[in-house]
Amino acid sequence: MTTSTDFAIFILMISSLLVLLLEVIGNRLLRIGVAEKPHIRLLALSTLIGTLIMIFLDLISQNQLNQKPFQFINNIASIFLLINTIIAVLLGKRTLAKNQNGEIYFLILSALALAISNINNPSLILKLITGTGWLILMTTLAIRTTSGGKRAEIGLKLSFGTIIFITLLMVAIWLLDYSYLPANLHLITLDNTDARNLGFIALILLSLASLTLAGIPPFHFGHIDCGDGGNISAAFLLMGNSFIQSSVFLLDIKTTLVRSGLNIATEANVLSLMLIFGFMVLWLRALDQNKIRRTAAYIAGSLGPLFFMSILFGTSVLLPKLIFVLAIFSFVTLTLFTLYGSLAYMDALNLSWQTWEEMSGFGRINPWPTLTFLIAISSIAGLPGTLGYFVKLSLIAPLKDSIIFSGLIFLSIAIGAACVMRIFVFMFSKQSQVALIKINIRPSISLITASLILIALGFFPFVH
Amino acid sequence: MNILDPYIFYILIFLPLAAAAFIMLIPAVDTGSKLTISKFFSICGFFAFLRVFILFLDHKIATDTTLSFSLATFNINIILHLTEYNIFLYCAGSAALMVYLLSYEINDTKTNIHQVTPFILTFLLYISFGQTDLRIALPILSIANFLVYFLIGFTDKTRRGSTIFQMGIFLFSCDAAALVLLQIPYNNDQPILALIINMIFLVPGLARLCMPMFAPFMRKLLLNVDESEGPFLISFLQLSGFFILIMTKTGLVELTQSLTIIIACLMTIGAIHVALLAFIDHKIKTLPYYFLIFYSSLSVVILFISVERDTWFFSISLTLTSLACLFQTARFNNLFNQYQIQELNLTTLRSSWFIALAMMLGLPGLGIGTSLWTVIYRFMGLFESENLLEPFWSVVAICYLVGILILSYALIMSARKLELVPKVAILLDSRLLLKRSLLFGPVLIAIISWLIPLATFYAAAGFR
Repeated sequence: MTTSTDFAIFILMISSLLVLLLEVIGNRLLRIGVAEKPHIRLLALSTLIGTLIMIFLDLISQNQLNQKPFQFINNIASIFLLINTIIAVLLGKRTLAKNQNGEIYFLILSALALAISNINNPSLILKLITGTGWLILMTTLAIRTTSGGKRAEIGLKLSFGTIIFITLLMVAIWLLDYSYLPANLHLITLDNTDARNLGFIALILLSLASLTLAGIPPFHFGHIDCGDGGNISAAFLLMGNSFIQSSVFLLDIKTTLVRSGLNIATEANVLSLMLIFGFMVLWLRALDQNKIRRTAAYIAGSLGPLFFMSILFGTSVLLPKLIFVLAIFSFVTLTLFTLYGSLAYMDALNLSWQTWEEMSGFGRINPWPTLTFLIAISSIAGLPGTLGYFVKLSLIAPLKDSIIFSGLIFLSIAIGAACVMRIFVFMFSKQSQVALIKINIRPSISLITASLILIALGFFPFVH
Repeated sequence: MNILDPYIFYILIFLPLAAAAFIMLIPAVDTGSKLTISKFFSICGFFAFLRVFILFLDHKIATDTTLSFSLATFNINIILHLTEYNIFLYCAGSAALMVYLLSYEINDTKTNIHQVTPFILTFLLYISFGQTDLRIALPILSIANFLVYFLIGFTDKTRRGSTIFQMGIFLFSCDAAALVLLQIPYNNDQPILALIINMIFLVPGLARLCMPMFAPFMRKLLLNVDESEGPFLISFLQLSGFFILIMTKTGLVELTQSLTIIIACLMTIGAIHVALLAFIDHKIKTLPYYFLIFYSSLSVVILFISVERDTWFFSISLTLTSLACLFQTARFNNLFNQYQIQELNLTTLRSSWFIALAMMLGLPGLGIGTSLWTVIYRFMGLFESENLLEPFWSVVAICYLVGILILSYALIMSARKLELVPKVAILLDSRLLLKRSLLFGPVLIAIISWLIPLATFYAAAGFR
């Protein structure tokens, strides 16, 4: 860990404690809703922005950044973790109920501190602790911010996912530790791991653990449910930050495989096929959903495998490496923000639009949130002319030997197109069955800008 | 030298975008002003094209125009090429926009987006036409289709939803397949594989041309497209389709004899299918579109008949003439549709309508016949001189003649139908409108249909 990261984690932890203290005092004064605690929100945002600036300045001061961006992937990932958290806090203004109680900002800040610690710590045992801690905090956040019967299901499934994550990591550490003394447990890192024999099995288990952390099929326990029934900000945070943490983890595993001199092409194909399997499952599930939030959750979930594949295997001849990496990270943040941001504008008034059928004709009356929503899902689907399309295309050339993979990438675009067109027809073409209410609030400039970026970057081909 | 000449190409490209911005700035209720400014910009655009065309013939305009953007140390260059191929497509684009907007004699403007969409579509067409790489142009054309779906989705047709659903999935999938294949290098040693891949490259173009074998959505599209917007949307699809085909022919596929024969066979079967559909449907609304698709299939056959570049001029001449005729006849249909009042006693009106449709019959010297017979004459000469599979091409020619006969019969049937229907158009409220729309129109188109082949072949001679 660099000094700036250490310092950032320290600030976040202090700040989270301070926020907790203020929330407790607020509760004592019978100010139980988030609307009555703007000072806490302000403090949380200031801490986040301050930390973001600190890590960003540290990153751009690195001399080797342009040449070897993957050496600084932890810092880049930390920046995007912070950006996601800031977005979640800002979205919370619309999505959190005014009388929402609980230690929301404490959970957000402390989870962020653990996430940054998780990606920056090479020790596997610390990864186990911080990863588990992060999942527990996110589960708590999801339960706290969700109302109704869904909270039990989300809590149960996320807890089960956490147990699977712990088990997989513990077995992996045990497999790696057979030659080590328990006293040196903290010394077990991927840097000193040889990916042969048991080491290889341990790496497979670590890969599965990272997929569990990100909620990729068949290891999707609570992520989709949180995206479906949970609070929009919490769902955004859970998905976005879990993808980033898992991607760094998978990148470390790939580095270990390469360093061990294994036939990386074969391993890469196996890993890519594993990821694309999850990707296809999510898209196929998205296609047959009736519920709006459920469809959006599956589509958002499919972003994870795509992001991992791009980080692990994607290349671009035309773009410098750093810009390419930033483009992929930005793609995840922008699409998730646009998707959940649009939903926040559709959902904020607690209208009864539950199924697509009930939402027929919504786009005719409220074109802006519908447009941003459609742009987000088109981009995730990878329709030609969006940023997502180039992200998908960046995978074809490096994995061209695998016809199945290329075929599945094409199939994913076709299924994505079907999903997008289905939603498009419901939103713009069908007439409303129920009385539609016009939302007079236009989406924020940031949301419209994010969606325009997703389209505009699709016009600049950076993959050849 | 004109003071605007150095910037004339920029003006041509960006005028539609400027028009869209101006229209958006006008208050939504002031549709009259929007319409006026739309007409003004479209006329300016056409004049800008004429100037570009003259300068291009005189070799006084740069063939490569670079648009540069700088973001920190990152430069983005968009190069627009002006070639002997795309100059005609620019012509068609600017003329289609102008004719479409001048045809708005009755103010039926629906929303802001409806006013702006033709300009945005034209702008995207212009940007695509300037590209020489399908990997850049196809994503732009692909995403532009969303606007087409939007316009179709906003109509009151019963099957609009399923139309855009089918069309969207099919076109996005075709485009994605072609773009994915472009990323994978393949071996030309295997002729069958090369042939299949070449055909896949052609599918996005042929699907946009609504060729029956390649566009399963064709009939639904023609039935569900709006009467007033239909000609513009279909012309957009046709132009983008021809652009993709010429790009594929000049840059991607190796034009072998087997590919030529396969294309000719598929197009001929498609043409007969279209003619039979027109005969079965014999609807006044769809008849001009069937004629257009019929002639487009012939244009494709001509385009791929040999590697000679002359084929393009014959092909585009036929296409441009059929588009001009389409706008005129579709305009009649639109007026009939809007003025469905009582009986029709105006013989002149009925006869001028029949003449307008008859221009699509291919009668020598009238309407499409000016280009059609030039093409037939030219290619009969080519077959005789080079003895290129003479019996095969004779069969193709006979099939097309049979197709024209079937279409003629369909036209007579639909004309009889019009006479028998009690509710026929009558234009009592505006004598000026009557004169402008129905009397001068056919005369004007008859003159234009002479001008198009003359201008095309004059330009072709100049390019040599």
